[in-house]
Amino acid sequence: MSQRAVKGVPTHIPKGSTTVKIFFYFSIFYLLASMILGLIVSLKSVNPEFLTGNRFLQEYFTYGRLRPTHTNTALVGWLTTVNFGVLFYGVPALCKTGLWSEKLGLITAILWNVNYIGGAVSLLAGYQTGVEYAELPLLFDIGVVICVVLTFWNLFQTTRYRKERVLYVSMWYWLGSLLNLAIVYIVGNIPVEWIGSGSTQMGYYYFYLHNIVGLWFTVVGVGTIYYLLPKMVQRPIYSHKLSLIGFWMIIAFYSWNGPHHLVNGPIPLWLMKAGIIPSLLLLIPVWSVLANVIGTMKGVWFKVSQQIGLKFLITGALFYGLACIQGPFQALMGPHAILHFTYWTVGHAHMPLFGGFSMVAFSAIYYILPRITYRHIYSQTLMNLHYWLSVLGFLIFGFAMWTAGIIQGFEWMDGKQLGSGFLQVMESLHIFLISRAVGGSLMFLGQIAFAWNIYRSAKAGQVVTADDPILVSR
Amino acid sequence: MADPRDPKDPNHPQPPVTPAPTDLSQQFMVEEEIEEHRDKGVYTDSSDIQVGHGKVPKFLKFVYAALAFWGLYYALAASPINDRHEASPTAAPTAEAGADVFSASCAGCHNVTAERKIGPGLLGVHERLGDQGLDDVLHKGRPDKGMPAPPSLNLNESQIQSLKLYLTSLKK
Repeated sequence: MSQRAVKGVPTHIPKGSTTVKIFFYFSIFYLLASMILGLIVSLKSVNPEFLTGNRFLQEYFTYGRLRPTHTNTALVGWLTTVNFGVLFYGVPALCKTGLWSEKLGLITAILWNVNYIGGAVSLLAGYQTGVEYAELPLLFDIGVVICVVLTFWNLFQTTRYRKERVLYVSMWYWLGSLLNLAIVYIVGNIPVEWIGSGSTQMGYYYFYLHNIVGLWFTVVGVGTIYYLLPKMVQRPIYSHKLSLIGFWMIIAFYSWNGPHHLVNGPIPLWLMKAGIIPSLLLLIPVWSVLANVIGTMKGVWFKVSQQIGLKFLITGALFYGLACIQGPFQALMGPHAILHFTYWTVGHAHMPLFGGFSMVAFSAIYYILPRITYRHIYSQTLMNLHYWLSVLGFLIFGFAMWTAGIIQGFEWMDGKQLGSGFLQVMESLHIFLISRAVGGSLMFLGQIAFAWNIYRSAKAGQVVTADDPILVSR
Repeated sequence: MADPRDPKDPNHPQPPVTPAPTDLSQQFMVEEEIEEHRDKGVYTDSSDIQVGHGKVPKFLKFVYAALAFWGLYYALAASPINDRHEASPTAAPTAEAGADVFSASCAGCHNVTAERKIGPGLLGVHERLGDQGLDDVLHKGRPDKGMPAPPSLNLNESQIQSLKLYLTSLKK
């Protein structure tokens, strides 16, 4: 292949890099697909007549089909896929060895993508379980769990035959996150016939809905932050003890967070408290991780202005921190009574997932891709454009939704929850829906710049030379 | 004539270079930030990444303790909020609040004049039905004529009382 022909580049390509590439390229496809779907939904909420011209559109382009496909393509399609890519690269790198089985990796990658594309088609065709974030039908759920188990087995064996005795912090987070993903996914997708309906069912499903973010995306993303940060700033991580506190507290408290979605609902008071208190205690792991990031960055903040990848990473950490201030506050009974069921939730859900961990994932792709394709990123300008469009777009999106949510919550409380009062509130919020579509369009433009940049990098990026520092540091 | 803004022009003023790292960046941690550790060194090395033995900041220790106390207090003392209305203090019933409730929940079927809409016009309704009669309709609706009971429209007692004050004010 062309890589071998590159002058001065070692002929030995790290094992497993094809698996990583498949995961990365497909994840970018899912990212674009998910954002188009989200954009269509947001445009439809600005103008309900949009894309309703004929029978086909009326059947397949309805909110009930587009929105679940948007969320699933973002969660399972984009973020999970890209994180698998990061794990397949990062775990062997930290173990100073190759991937245990490249063949198994490839099988996992292909099965995963076939499974998810099948799942997305079935969502669009209307075959859904009707549970938020867990709409995929059982068949595809089983496919997801099989792929997670195969990935875990492959990476576990890689770890077992590692050439480095001590496991670095990221390794705890990464391997732990895969176990979490399997458990959370299985619990969240148990068919309703087996567990009974009503608030019991919601107890199961909110465990899934919150923890697919809390125990999978957060844990794997924090692992990635711990991996990339010292590499990018060339500094030691500030404190081993803080990383220990962060890891064990995240595992101890996050799993409790499901019931805070049912606060003020038909569940016992002790269960509400069991959901609310750990939500507040989450500040412990989050602030410990951030303290470690800040401690590591101390004195070298100027590097953020020099490396765009680092800018993505730090912004991701910042939005993660902000999302985890918003979250505990929302979990309290008073704020929850106002903010639940409003647009606020939409803004909040996008903050950790897009602003936080998608940013970390972008940073990881920009860091890892040159190390597996031996080509540098094609354009720094496009990278910068990607950064600013994503951040500005998200801020417009987020603040529009938060403001709209607060207005909605208080107006409903004032008795405008039905009748002509409800319509008045809805009309007055139109401007915020337009702002959301504008912010979303900017975010989408940013991702086009990203996808084009990655495509050009893989095709025509500057080839690394033998003395390039990226060959030394994986 | 060279364009003064041309970045390829060798005479073009170069943008200022990022300021040199501060002294702090040369030194990873100051003495008081480092914890005593068994391995005697400042860092351990794993997978070519160094990990320091920095202390847990005092501020964070305070946060940990405060959250632990708050958690205990909340577990013992918190009581539930039953619905949105109780999350904010409810104001005493007023005719102004009643007018809002009317336009939100009643104006679809009723005029405030004597003119009929879907239901009868409500001018002088208090004199027509009497105090008790109005109260009955505001709580039970008129199931026989298709008017829903206001409580089933999610109106609470305070809103219904406001509504009653407002309707009473509609005199001929």
